[in-house]
Amino acid sequence: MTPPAEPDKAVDELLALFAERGLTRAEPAILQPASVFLDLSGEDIRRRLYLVQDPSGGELCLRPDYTIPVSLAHLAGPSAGRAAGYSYFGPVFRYRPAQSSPGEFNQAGIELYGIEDRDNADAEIVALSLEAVRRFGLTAPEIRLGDPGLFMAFVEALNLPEPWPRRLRSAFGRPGGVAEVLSAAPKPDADGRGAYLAGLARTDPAAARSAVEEMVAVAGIAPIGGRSPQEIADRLIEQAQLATDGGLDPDARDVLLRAAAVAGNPEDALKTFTALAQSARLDLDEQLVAFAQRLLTMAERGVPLERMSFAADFGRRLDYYTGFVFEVFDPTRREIGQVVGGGRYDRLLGRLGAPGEIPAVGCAIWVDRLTGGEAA
Amino acid sequence: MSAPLLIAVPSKGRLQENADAFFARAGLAVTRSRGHRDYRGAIAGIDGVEVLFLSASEITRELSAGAVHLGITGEDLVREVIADADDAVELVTPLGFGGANVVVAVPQMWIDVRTMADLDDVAQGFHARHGRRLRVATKYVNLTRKYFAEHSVGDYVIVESLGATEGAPASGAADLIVDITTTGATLAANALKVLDDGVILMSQANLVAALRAEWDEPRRRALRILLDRIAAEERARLVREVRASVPGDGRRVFEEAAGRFGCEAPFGVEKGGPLLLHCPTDTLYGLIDYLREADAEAVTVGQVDYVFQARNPLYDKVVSRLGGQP
Repeated sequence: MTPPAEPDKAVDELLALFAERGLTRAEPAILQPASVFLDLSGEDIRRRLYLVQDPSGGELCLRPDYTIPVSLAHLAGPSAGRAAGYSYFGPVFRYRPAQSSPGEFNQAGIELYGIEDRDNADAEIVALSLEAVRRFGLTAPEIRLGDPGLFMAFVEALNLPEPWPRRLRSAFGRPGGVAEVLSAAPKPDADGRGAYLAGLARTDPAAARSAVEEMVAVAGIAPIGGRSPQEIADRLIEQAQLATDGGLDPDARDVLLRAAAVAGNPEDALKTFTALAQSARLDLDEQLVAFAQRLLTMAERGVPLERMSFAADFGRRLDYYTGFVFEVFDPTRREIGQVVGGGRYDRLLGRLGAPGEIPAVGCAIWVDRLTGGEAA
Repeated sequence: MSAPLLIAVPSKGRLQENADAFFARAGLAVTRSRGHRDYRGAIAGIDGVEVLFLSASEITRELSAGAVHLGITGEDLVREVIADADDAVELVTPLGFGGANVVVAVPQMWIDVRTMADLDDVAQGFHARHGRRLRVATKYVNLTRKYFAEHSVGDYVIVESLGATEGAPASGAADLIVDITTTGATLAANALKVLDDGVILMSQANLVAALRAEWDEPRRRALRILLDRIAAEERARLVREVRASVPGDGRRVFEEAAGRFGCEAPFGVEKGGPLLLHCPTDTLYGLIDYLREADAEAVTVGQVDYVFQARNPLYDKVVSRLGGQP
């Protein structure tokens, strides 16, 4: 597509669309406490933040996105605890030297909170974002779909011991991804201590744990840093077992490698997953039905399934994001990057202080990319 | 007179003493025009050079901005303070003092953590277990972020520390640290250990050139004079002068000695005359044994003060980065 001739008009139409759908316009402050972003997104976000200090020494940042500020405003407002939908439009601030793009640029977006029918809300977000990009002239988009929750359902059903679930969960959104974690060679038992510990742990886990605690105590090492002796003992035993067991069970690895490699049109992906679960005798009916349901709902909302591709290893870091993710591209201008990015983040509001988990799904629309010829 | 070449040197402490000794060795006498209190000085006998006495971190910032032309500062500060260090400055030569390593150190009690991969593993499980991220105390925010990213460690936050970083784990302010260490004694005293692959940078004081400074012709001439002396002293320090008279064709003896021991004959070799060679210090005794085997009558070894050569590798290095002809 070519960018719209009248960008302002396209934005007006976008805002009208949001209002028509009953979304409340959110206008959070530009200046935000930096600690929230650093704590939720990790240290790596710092290199993208525009940081400022207030005279009393507090660290603030210019909002790098809207999701966290809108979520905070929702929790502080009268609708906290109820289902609510918000839209936003305005500048965000991110340092992007590699793309030599300006650090200030406009984004629009949608956030839906507290909608228990998750499949429906997911489909709603995708459908709305496609209507949004149409306002900017993008009528034939490509949609990339992922759902780490589905892969993690395989991991759970296989009943793998730690650290495998932990490592695999952390692999999403990392270079190398799950395939790298699955194919990593087990670390050798460097000092022979592992074999002893692993043996002891198999017969008497409590004895193994106190053996390690004793090691630490005998060495007279001061207990500092936020980890308890017990936690260190647990991990040492876990590592010892890994080293002596020779790593992941080959059958389980095979199933997971095949699950991670599933890619293609979403209906085929669903069939492959189903066949894989059946041949491995894993009961994943609930997740597979939910996946099918989401596809069906999207189709009903007019989302063209034939323009979608699914990849099992596509996902954001499973942190406050909890599963379903999607990105929208302009196939004629793939190099500018995604024009919409979205997903489900059921754990965010809990992290921000809400009592318990609140369903949340949203997307950000890269208005600057849709309106400008600017490369990503 | 045109504007001078500005060279920033440390204004206090061990770094200053070492820098003074370095200049003295190179025959560059730094003078403070109005005694010890003054923050400006000159170099005796060289016109068009002005010396500024600043703190090491100020020197780094001034180099980054191109506000001074040369400076003496640690590589750790260059890499930490200057975001695009490779574009902004050129490390002209390491000076052999101010050596220290920037390292990742964790509590000794973490007997399960030996490598960055272990740290990554622990960081991943940390939030779920403790409801917060792993905290890293450091004043090297940029070095830490870069090194952790290279090792795919993402689940942590930095706690900026402006002094006594090594005490942060004990006080509960952080779980681990990234800090500078020379002997490791301070780390050990604080019950910390360096990870096996936890050395981020082996740093020492460097003579650093600012590529963004204004380098006109008079300043390049001054640079050439300074670097000639520095290179001459450096070359002299790294070689010994060997004299020997050998029977037969001295040229053949020299050819083999050049190939085996990396020596040079700065004044050429004549067929019947005595040899005068410059030999790197680390192959010196090999050369002497070889000369004895070649029936040398006598071999003398001496140290020279300066070796001025037609080509100056230090000057060439800087000028090639400035985009000019040496």
